[in-house]
Amino acid sequence: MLGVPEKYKVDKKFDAKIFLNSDLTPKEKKKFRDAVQEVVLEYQIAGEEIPSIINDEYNCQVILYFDVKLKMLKDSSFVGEIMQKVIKPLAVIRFWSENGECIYCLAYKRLNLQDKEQIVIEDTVYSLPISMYLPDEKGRLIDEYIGYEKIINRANKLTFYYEMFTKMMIIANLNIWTKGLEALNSKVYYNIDESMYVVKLLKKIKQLKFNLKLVATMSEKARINGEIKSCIDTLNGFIK
Amino acid sequence: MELKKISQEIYNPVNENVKKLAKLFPAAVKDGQVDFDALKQELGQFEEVGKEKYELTWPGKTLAKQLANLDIAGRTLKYVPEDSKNPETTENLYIEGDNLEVLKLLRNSYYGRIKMIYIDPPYNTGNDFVYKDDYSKLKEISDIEEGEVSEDGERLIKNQRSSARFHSNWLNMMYPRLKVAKDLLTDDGVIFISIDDNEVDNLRMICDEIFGEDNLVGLFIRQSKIGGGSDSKYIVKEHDYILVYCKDIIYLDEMFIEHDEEYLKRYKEKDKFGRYFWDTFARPGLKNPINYDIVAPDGTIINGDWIRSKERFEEDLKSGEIRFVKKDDGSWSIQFKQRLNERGKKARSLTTNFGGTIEGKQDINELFNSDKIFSYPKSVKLISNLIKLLNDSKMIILDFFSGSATTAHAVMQLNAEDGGNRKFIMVQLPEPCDEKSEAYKAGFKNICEIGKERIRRAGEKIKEEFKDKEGIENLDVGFKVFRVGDTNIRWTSEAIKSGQIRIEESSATKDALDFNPGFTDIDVVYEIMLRHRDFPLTSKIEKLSHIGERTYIFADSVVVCLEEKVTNEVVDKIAEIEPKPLKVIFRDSAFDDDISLKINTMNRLDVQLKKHNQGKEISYRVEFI
Repeated sequence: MLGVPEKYKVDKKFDAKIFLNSDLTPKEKKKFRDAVQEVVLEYQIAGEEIPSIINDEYNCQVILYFDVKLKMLKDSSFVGEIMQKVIKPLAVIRFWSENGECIYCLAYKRLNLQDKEQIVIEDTVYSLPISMYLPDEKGRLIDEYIGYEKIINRANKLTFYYEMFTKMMIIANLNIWTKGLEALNSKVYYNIDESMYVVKLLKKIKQLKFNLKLVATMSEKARINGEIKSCIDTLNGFIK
Repeated sequence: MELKKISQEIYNPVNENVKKLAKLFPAAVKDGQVDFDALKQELGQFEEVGKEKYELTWPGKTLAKQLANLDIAGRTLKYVPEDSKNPETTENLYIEGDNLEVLKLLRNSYYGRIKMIYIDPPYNTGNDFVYKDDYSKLKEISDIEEGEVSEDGERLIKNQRSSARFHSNWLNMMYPRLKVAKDLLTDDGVIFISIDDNEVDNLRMICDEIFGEDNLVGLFIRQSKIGGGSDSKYIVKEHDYILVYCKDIIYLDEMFIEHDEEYLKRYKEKDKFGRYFWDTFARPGLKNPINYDIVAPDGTIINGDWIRSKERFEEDLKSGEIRFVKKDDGSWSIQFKQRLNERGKKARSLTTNFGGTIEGKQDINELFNSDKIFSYPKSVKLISNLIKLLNDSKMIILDFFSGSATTAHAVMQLNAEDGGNRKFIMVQLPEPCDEKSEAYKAGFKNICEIGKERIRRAGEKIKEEFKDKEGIENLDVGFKVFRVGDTNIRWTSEAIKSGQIRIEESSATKDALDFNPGFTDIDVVYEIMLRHRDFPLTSKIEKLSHIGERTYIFADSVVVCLEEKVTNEVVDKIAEIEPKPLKVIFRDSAFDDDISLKINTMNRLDVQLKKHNQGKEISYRVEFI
């Protein structure tokens, strides 16, 4: 998956039940059990070839790659939310189903400042559905820019993961920022703060686009369009 | 000694008879005209009383009402970049033209968006020029009005007291303007109108009718000058008025003016809730005394008339708002914290410190080194005080009798002082300056030139005065200038209808077919913007040079494509715009008479827009001119 070297291969199956905890309602537990058919930990990037980072905010010693077979791909976000909460390390989850499509899920996590044993999920990103067998533009972009060898910022496991996260966010939102394609080749990922700002702006544009549908008057729509334009202009400034 | 000029009037027997009649029966002559019903009543002949109703009426009132509702066809606002200052960033406007036309044109873009209107209309002193409106559109009355426009067609006429319609002319001017102005106000919007004794009663009555009696906020009596007046025959006038109405009193916030330094001196103490002073709790001599016993710290029972109820006293005592102070004679003084209302104090109808004529002249003098550039300017202090009453640092303020543009000056000054972001819209008819006037000698041909120059100079002066204040570089001292003019767009194919152009020639002269002579692309874009509801005229216009030489976008949302041919390349590039436009406007003539071409082009636009939106549907509109 995503060109991760074989030396990190784990290929360990998990019982889906281990992801069910007391926070879930019986109804959610049932839905989860019905949806998930198989969970495999494919890879685990450990060791210090890509350095770990441990401080007050992060504890990133491994990056996990899961392959999760779902009965129906539309349950990806429901299952992804539960799994990412339970899996404390940074994790890439690929959901797939027998219809031949897959969806990637990444979550940016930090430590809970009150309880360092707990994590807080700041952001989650899902790719659009990608065909696993037919030529697919989105899949090509993911392979081309998010594959293991393509990640440029290897300062530590957090920067490595966040580069994947940012690129996935850009690829999933090319409809709101067409110059995102150029951004995939930019050097914005060398600076995690700038990457985070890119993600923040993309999320803001998504929210504004949603708001655009809710307002009725042209003036309100134009005001929102103006804000979107301003965000896009800022984003374009990151393309170096 | 009074130096009288030779009367220009020639003996008019009818006028003389009317004057004699007025001497005998004042009630039978109204505004220079005989009221025959009133005359009959004076002579003891009473008609049926069923027709009577309470209202102010005058000759031309119905027409004035009609005029307010008459559509503004064939007119628009043309951008004047050479007179504008900081047009790329400013949110202020200066509009030259008949204010009734301007108000109607603004009704589309600014309907319900103006929080404050201040006007200083002609006081109708007998020498004022008033607007003579063009009633020609109202066919049924054109005959009546014939001959009332000055010979050279000027619509600004001198309304002399000897005129048979002295008050009516003034009311006919004011009524439609106020009626349209009301539409521009926000629900909590307020209009302030300066006026004096000449028309205050009439103005109040028409405002009661237009805004509703319940929406009268108040009437300020402003001290306009002190001293002088030896030329007054009876009583020296030292005041004028500011009549205040709101759009809907239900939404109107309370009004406060800031405390003066003297008043604040009393509030010496301060705690976490703000400033206060210790005031005596006892209030002997109250009309309805609140009498009860209070037990002092040493057990003494004090009976008295108090300012607050027993329940309130007990609450305040617990919360530390009350204290007991032992006086020299051993008795107790009970005191409470009289708190300062941080928003200010309630405005009082009698104002002696709102700034008068002298301050107004000083304001002008500081900018032009002469106080004779403009007669009777209102002071910046006056307008600032009125603006402060509304407690809104982001509102739009309109002045459609803007004169020397004191309102704009006050808005910039106040924004500099309190960091506000108020915007102004000044409207003024370019009344020519008298050739003998100081203003004319100084190079100002009309009042608009004075107003614009004042804003330029005042803006720079304010920036200099506040140069050390943080953020002053963001102060908006710019303004976009517009001028009322004829429409740029041939909204119907009148050029063809009128035989100016034959349809077969149209492909060679598409501009002549679509636009009026003298148009510019920018004028057309502004005109289209003006016809879109709720887009302020200060909205940004960008030329999309990468698409074509005649394609623009305004407010980041509406694409106006004035290209004579709409090619696939143009369509594809429009579809690539980010964020996606809400509307795209093409010229009908760009497709000639080819319906298939038009449909194909629109289909292509749709497909391309979807493609750039990852195949998702996108909501947009296409319109044609």
